[in-house]
Amino acid sequence: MQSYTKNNPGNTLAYYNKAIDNFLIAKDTLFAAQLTAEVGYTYSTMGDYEHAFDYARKSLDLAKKSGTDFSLSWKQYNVQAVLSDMSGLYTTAGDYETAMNYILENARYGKENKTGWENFDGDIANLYCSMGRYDSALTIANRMDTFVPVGIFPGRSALLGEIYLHGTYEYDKAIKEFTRVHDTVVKYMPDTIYSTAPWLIKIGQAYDGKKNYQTALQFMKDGLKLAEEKNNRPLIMDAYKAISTVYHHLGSNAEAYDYLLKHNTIKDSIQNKRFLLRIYNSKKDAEVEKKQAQLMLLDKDNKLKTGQLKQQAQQKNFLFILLSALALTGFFVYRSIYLKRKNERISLESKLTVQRLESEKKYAELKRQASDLQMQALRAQMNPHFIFNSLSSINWFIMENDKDTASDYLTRFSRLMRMVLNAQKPMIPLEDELKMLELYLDMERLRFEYAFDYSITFTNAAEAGTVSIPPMLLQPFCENAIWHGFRNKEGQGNININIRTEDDMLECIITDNGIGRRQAATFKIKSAKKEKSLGLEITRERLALFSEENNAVANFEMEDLVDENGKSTGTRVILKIAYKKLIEEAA
Amino acid sequence: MINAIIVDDEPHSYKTMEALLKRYCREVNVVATCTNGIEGLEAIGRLKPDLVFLDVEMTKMNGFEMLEQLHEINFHLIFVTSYDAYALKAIRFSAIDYLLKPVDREELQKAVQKVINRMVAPLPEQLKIILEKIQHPSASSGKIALPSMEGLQMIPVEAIIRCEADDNYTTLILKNNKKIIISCTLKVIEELLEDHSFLRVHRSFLVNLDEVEKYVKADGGYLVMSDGSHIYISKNKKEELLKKLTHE
Repeated sequence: MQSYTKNNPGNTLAYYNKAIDNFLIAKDTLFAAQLTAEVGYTYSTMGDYEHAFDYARKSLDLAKKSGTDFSLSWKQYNVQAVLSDMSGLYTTAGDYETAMNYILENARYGKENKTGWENFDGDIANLYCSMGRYDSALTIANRMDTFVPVGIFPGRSALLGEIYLHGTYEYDKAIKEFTRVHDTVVKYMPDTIYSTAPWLIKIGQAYDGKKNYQTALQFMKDGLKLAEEKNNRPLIMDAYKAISTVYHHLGSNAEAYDYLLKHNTIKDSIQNKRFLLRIYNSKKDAEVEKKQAQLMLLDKDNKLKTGQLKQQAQQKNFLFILLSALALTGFFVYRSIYLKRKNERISLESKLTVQRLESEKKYAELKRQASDLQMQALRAQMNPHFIFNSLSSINWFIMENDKDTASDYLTRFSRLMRMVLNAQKPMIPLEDELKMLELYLDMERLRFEYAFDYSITFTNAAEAGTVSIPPMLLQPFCENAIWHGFRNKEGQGNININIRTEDDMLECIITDNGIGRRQAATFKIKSAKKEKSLGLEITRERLALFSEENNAVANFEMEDLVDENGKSTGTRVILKIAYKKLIEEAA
Repeated sequence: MINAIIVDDEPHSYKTMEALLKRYCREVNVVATCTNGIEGLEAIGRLKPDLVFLDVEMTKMNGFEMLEQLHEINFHLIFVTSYDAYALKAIRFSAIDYLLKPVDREELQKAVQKVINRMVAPLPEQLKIILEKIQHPSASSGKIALPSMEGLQMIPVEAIIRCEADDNYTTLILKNNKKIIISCTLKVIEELLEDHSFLRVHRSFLVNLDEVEKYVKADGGYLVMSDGSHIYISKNKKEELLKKLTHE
């Protein structure tokens, strides 16, 4: 029957189920329990954990209830075997705590009934391996008996192999242990529950660790074949995963995906939610049962006591005292729990408040950083075109052997760069801003071979040394005039920057005699469109930010200039910024 | 002898190019210098050059607008640009040669050598790619030109499901189950496609986010692509990926 079980689970199950019914009808629970356990186990080898779990529970019930027709030890063996299956199933479900409880219960049962099956070190160590606690597993393995009689499953070797493979990465040692297990199983226990497939897969995994990939694949595929023959889906799943990993290490991604996909399909189908839910519910049921049993015991006790008339009064008193003591204790327990809960709630609330405050602080900080960053970015907005074109021009002067001009140009470029880099403050003196502007205009004049002139004029006594403005505010307008106003213009260009103070305002008027915005737009470079208008856009944003932060006027207007015939004669930009506040700030 | 035309509106720039060619590329004979696209068109029609150095940033008809006017291109083309992120990206998308200002002598020599070695004019497809990319920088309907073993491949961006790194090569997996091996690194392709909905989810994988079928949390998280393939995700890319997948 055993071999029948392993080779054709489908038929076996039908056969078994029928047999169980017959035994139950015959009220032979002992046999029924054992068969039920076998069915459960068969299901678990097929990866049908849901059924496996149901049958294991049923079997446990039957085994505990069963009589001892033939021998007491048979009944006890049945109970222990099912308890062992249960711990295995909970391990599969990832509920290690309950799995451990079943192992301990099993050990207790074995001890109480003197069955001789009370040492569960191996099971505990294996559970530790599942939990990834290889140190604890090793401690147990070290105290386990090293002697294993010939023909008995070498559990310690299997355990050590696992520890070497996944815990300490000592692959050669792992191969040695697993090979020992494999050979024993093949020689002494073919066609039993100790399948040969897992050891082949594990040996393969160890070879994978040794980067000996071809050997690894050989072992794994042999293992897979055996697992497939027996339709052991959990093992097939493990084999797929292991093979996928080797292919991944080999860099054969297509195969790695393929096997991973297969692995995932099986995994999804066997560890389904229903199985997990059932296991969870059963755990809850067991707890409820336990409590009910305790209550019943208490109830019985009380009845006995009340039945004894002689001690009734005494007992009443005793009970009263006991109950009030219980009530008092209960009250204090309740109170302490209540207070603890309350404290927890308060601390949670305060924690949340702290978190909220922190996030608010963080937000403010972020906002400040953002504006800082923006300012920095804005100041550094010296057009990359300008930088690279300047370098190109310097290159040309060198090629031309025009050493003086090259040197002039280079030093001016350096001065301008230094000033731009130094303009890290949110505000710089107007004097410095104008100096930067002059340097910039000088360089562009040189580059465009004096295609334009420029002038900076003061209408009234604006004191360039005491007034501060955000840096690099005027340059974008001049750049705009040069690039779009002059480059397509026939004849000499002209640009004037006029500074004046009016009421509280600092007013800068930048006038050019370029071709005007409308005509310039028709020449605008498609690709550069974004960058060119960006300069003005950024300036507009900066002024708005400035205005918001200081609650002061800061803006600019642009207008096209036309002569009496309606012909475009250039562009005028009027930039206004409340300067009185700036003096205060500078001071 | 290679007859060349320079089209550039900045005096220092075209003068430099002329001087560099004269000194370091004696195979090249500059037959004309034009300061805008209109002059350039006229000179190309009249002189039928072998090679054109074309500045991108000219105010009166820029380099791309000039190319748009041409019905066919039977000369070799080298773009010259100082700094224009948009233009540069479009040029790289088309795999046409370019030089950056200030022009490096060795790079100029290399570019000229390439012209001498294979006097092949750029394909009309490549020009189409540039113009499309300039007008619609992030449209996925366009194509990208990439060098493969057999030559230049024009691949529709939207046909790419994913790209896989393979040292100095990259395998592109396309919608029609086709695989193309491209002779450049995944990093280069990642940069080229950065305006499109592509994300490097792993050191070895660049995926088209439009082709993601689902994201699976299990096993450390992976993507299932429209071709059924599974793509692992690096831990540090997970957050960015989820953000992109959920906010798009």
